[in-house]
Parts: sequence; C-alpha cells; structure tokens
Amino acid sequence: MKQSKVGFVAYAVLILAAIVSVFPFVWTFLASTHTNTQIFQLEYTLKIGNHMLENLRNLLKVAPYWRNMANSIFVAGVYTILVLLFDSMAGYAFAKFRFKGRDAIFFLCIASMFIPQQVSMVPLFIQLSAFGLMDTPWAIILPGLANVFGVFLMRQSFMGFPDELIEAARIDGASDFRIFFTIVAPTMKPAFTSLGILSFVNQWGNFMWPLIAINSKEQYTMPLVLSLMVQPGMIIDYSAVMIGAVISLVPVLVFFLVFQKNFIDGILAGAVKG
Amino acid sequence: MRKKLIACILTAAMLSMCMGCGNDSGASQGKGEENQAEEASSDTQAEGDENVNAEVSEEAEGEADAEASEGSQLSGEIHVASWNASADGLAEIAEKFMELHPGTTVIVDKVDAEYTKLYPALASGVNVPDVMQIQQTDIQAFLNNYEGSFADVTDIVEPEKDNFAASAVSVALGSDGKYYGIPWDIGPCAMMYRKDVFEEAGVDVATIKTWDDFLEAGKVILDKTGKKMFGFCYNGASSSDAVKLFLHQQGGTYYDADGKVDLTTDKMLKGIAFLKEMQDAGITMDLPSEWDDRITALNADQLVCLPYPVWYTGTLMSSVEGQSGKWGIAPMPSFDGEGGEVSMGGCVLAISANSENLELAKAYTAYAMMDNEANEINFKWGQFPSYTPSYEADAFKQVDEYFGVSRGEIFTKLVNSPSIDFGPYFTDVDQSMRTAIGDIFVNGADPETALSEAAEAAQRIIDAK
Repeated sequence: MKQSKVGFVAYAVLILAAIVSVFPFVWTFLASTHTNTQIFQLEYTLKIGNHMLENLRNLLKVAPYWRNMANSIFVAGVYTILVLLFDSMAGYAFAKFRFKGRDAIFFLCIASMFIPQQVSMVPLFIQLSAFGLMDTPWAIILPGLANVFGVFLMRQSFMGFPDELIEAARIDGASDFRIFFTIVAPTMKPAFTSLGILSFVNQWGNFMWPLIAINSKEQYTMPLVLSLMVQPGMIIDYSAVMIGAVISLVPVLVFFLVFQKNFIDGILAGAVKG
Repeated sequence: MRKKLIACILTAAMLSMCMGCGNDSGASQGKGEENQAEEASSDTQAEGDENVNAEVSEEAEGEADAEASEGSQLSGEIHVASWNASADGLAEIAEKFMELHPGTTVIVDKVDAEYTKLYPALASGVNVPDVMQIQQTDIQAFLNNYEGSFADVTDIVEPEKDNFAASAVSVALGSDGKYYGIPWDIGPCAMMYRKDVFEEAGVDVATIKTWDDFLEAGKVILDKTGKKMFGFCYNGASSSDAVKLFLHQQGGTYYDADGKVDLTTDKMLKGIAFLKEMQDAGITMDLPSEWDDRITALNADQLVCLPYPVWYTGTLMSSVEGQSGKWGIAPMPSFDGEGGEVSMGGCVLAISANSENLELAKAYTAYAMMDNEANEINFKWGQFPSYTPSYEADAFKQVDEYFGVSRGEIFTKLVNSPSIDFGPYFTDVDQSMRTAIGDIFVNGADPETALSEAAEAAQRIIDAK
C-alpha cells in the first residue's frame, strides 16, 4: 500500500516534468503550422493549423535550407567519426601505455578544459585563415577533434579493460593497432556510443564558431540559417523559422534513436560476458 | 619501442591541438596602423553616377565629378558584411551597381548584429570585410578599439554632410576630425496609434502634444477600454530603450560636459520620472522579452499606442496583419509640446583601411548610401535612409494600404532629431543602465541613487580599460 503511494507521487512528479520538457517542442511544432500573426494569438496556437506547407515554401524562398541541412549532416557526421577515432586512441594511450610524463601531460590536457572558448577564437581564426579553410566545412570540423572531454571519457573506460587480455594478444604477436581495433575497441561500444551521441548533438547545435568561420549562405549549418533569420530589429518570419526548427530536429532524433538502441545492446553484451 | 614512439607522436599531436586553443590573443589591437597613410592619397570618386546634387558641390573639388562619369575603370572584388533584411537590400543594390560597373564584384555576406564575426577579423587583421555595417551607437567603440582599421571617408561625407540627417553624420566623426563611416539609415519616431480604440475612448489624437497629454489620454483609454498606452521592458536586456527614447528626444546623453559618465542629468531624471508616473498610473505594461512580447500584446489587443521608430511599421505589417487599416500615425509628443523629433537605431557603413580594393569599396558604399535608386531599395527593405535628397524618389510617396497614408511622406518630415554623442563606451554604460532601470521599475528603488551607483560602476569599468 505504502509502495503504491510513493509510486503515485513519483509518477505525478515525472509526468509534470515530462510535460514541462515536452511542451516547448509541441509548441514549436504547432507554431510551424500557423501563420506569422496566428503564432502571437495565444488561443489559436494550441491547435494544429493548416499553413505548414506555405511556411515551408516561405522558408525555402529565403534560404537554401536542404543544402544547409546536408551541410549539417556532413559536418556533424564526419566530426563524430573523427572524434571517436582520435579520442579513443588518445584515451587508450593514456590508459594503457606507460611513458614518461604521461600523467603530467594528461593533467595538462584536463586543465585545458578550463580555457574559455572565447579566448581561442582569434588565434583559431588566424590559424584557419592561414590554412585557407575559412568558409569550408573543415573550418568547423577540424578545431574540436582533439576533444579533451572525449579523451577523458575514453581513458576512464579503457582503464577498466583487463591488462591480461592485451598482454595475451601481444604475446600472440598482435601489433598495438591490431590490439586496439580488434580486441579493445569492440568491447567499448557503450563508451563509443555515448561519446558519439554527445559529439553529434553538440556539433549539430554548434553555433558560435561556425558563425565566425562561415560566410556564404550555401555553407551555413542549421543553427546559422535559423539564427540569422531571427536577429533583433528585423521583420521576423516566425512561422518559417519554426518549420525550419522542426525539420532540423529530425536528423538528431533519428541519430539518437538508432544509437540509443546500440547503447543498451552494448551494456547488455558486456553484462552477459562478465 | 617503435609502437610507443608512434603513440607518443600521436599523443603529442593531439596535445598540440589542445594547446593550440590556449593561445591568448595578444594581438587584439593596433593592427593596421601602417596603412593609415595610404588612404589619405586615395582618389576621390565618391558619387558613382547620376546622383545629381548640384547645390552642394561647392565643396566637392572638381576631380570627384570628373572621374565619376567614367566608373568603368573600377574593378576587383569586395566583401560587404551586413545583417538581416538590410543585407538583402545591399545585395539588391550590389546587383544594380555591378550592372553599372562591369568587371566589379560585390559580395554581401550576412553576419549577426552582435558583431561576433567581425571581432576576430578586426582583432587579427585577417579576412576583414571591405565594407562593414556598424550601428550608430557602436561606431565610436570600434574606432577606439580597432584604431587604424577603418578608412578615412571624409572625401565622401564632407561635401555631402548637409544632405544627411544631422544626427546620422555626427556619430561617424572621429576624434581627429575625420569621418570613418558613411551614414546609412536612421529611425525617426512617430506615435503610431489604434484609431479605432482612440475613437472608442473619445480621445482626439490631435490634442496630444506633450507627454502629459499622452499620460492623460492613456488614463482615459485605460478607464474606457482597459487597454495600455505604452509598453516597455521593466527589467531585462532592452530595459534602457524606453529611457533612451525620452533622453535622446531632449538631446541628452550618458555623459557630462567633461566626458565622464553622468546618469543623473536633469534630462535623464525627467525621462525616468515620466516613465515612473506612467507606471504608477497603470497605463504601461511590462514587456520582459520586449520584441516578442510586444507583438503578442499588439495581437492580443492589449497595447494600442507605439511612440516608436519607423522600422517598426514593417513588423506591424507582417506580424500584426489582422489590424490593417486600424493604425494611424501622428507626431511624437514631447515634454514642452514642440520639436519632439527623435531617432532610435540606425547604422553606418565603414570601410576597412586594409581593403585591397579601396576605390571600389568607396564607390559602392557611396552609391548604396546616396543614389536615389539605391535608397528606394533601402527603403523597400526597411532601412530608412538618412540621405535627404533621396526623399524625392517615388518610393517615399507611395501610399501604404496598412496605414492608409504614405509612411515615407510622414517620416521624411521627422528626420531632424538631435545629434547624440554615444561615446566610445556606450555598451558598457548601457549595461549599467539596464541594471539600474530594473531596480527602479521592479524593486521601486530611488532613481537618483540607483542611477548614480550605475554611473560609478560604468566609470570604473571605463577607467579600467
């Protein structure tokens, strides 16, 4: 009896929290189906309107939206793959190799997390301008690849991997790369998945640096094209922005759902092996 | 061993990338001074083409006009950094310009209005756009922080300076007496009001001459209809805007005669006292997230009067479509009943001193700011030009369906607002102001105390720079 009472309270709180977190998304979706003026008339916005296609047409008139979507997918996808590769290798080295100054270097890496992003903007700007990479997707992909948080996360996961397995493989004559890719990495699916999801979502919503690095409309990513439609002092086409925001959610959602399944599989696989 | 070496190299490579982000930007200032000398010698060829202004050419030395007729020697490519719809306008003007001057390329890049893109470029001196849109309130700060980065455009502005609205010219004048920006748009204000609601309440708009009349009318409207006369942000990112409206209308600034921050001038206190009086009478409403909340309040029929700049007419037409035909435009009230002209917002175009195609950048900017056809395009995209000879163009006479009158004709007569010195630290002072305003209108703090504290805080920040 007592149990169910606690359960009831817990569910009430959870349901409330769910409503609070889901409502903005529902509102955005509903707003994307209304005209610009209707959005501001509160009573209409809780119904589905019939202006979605019209809003989409307006959006496509002001921005090469599909092109921008493709840019975002390319940037976030390539970035995620490279981050997983580099960060896992670095994390593995920090966890499993013994070399002079390892801990000092690792400490320095961690310390660099305290440097605010703004400080690195100007040097990064000069560097990438010198490379001639400004206004290309690579200007967004390259700077964050050696992601200290990722290295840290990977190192922590690799620390738990039994040394004996690595030594056994080494005795059998496997190279370090072979050990890493065929023996260690496959067991680390959960870590890879979490870092992958984090990286993808972060890069998908990355705004500040792309704003500086990208100039031409054709190279915009999702956050850029949407935010440059809502600048103060301009006539804002809210409904076009809303439909743009709704569509931009789809790829992240798909990505998350697909890999979330993997995420759970990974944990279960590890549990069975024991 | 070899493997360890590879591992070390890989790690070192990653580390160097991590560390690369840590380099502090020591180079934030002082770039580009060496280029200052060059531009003095640059040729005047301000007016691109058929921009006939015979009456002011007395100062424009002969060479300017002689060369202007054959613009064909212009060549090269320039990048223009601008935001929002104003960028769309500049892009349309650029197409016209390129038709007139084959062989030139003018590319308009959209940037954000907070200058996030411009700061790193100006600080490093790399990839600086040739032409930059900068707000009137910020140009002095840019001249101060990035000394030597902007080209002297006195040759374009000086001969034309009486043709621009006075308030738009003075902001671009550097401390050395040279002009570093070409005036673009201004935000002349008028009192937009709901004709139907005023009628319902029995208020004759013609009787509203002073702010006291405005207050009385507001009380009547509140009494008869329950609607609010004035909306502003009591506490938040834009809470200083309403105060600035009253301050600038009286020609007041954030500084005293010696250039020290002074937020307790008579003009300031008068403005605040009036806002407070309106608040106490209950005729104002709070718009915490001002831009969006104002549109919501208008659509909900709660807000019926907008003593506000011309650029808001575009938002009314697009976001408050349903009230077409219900809005009228009347002159601004003022404290003494006359000369209520005031401008809110506005920009200049500045040119990079390091531009590889300085000639082209100047020619394009002059064309975009001072040609009638270009200004018609500016007006179409919501930028109200400060170049008064262009007001003769047809676009400014067109009757707008929404208002039933010609917006152009009304607002072109309201451009003689006082010139305001925003100073090189406008943003810092304004930040302190916002805190004080919030304190006054939400917590009921005493204006004089709150404002003198804000002034001290702002002065401290400035002195530390």
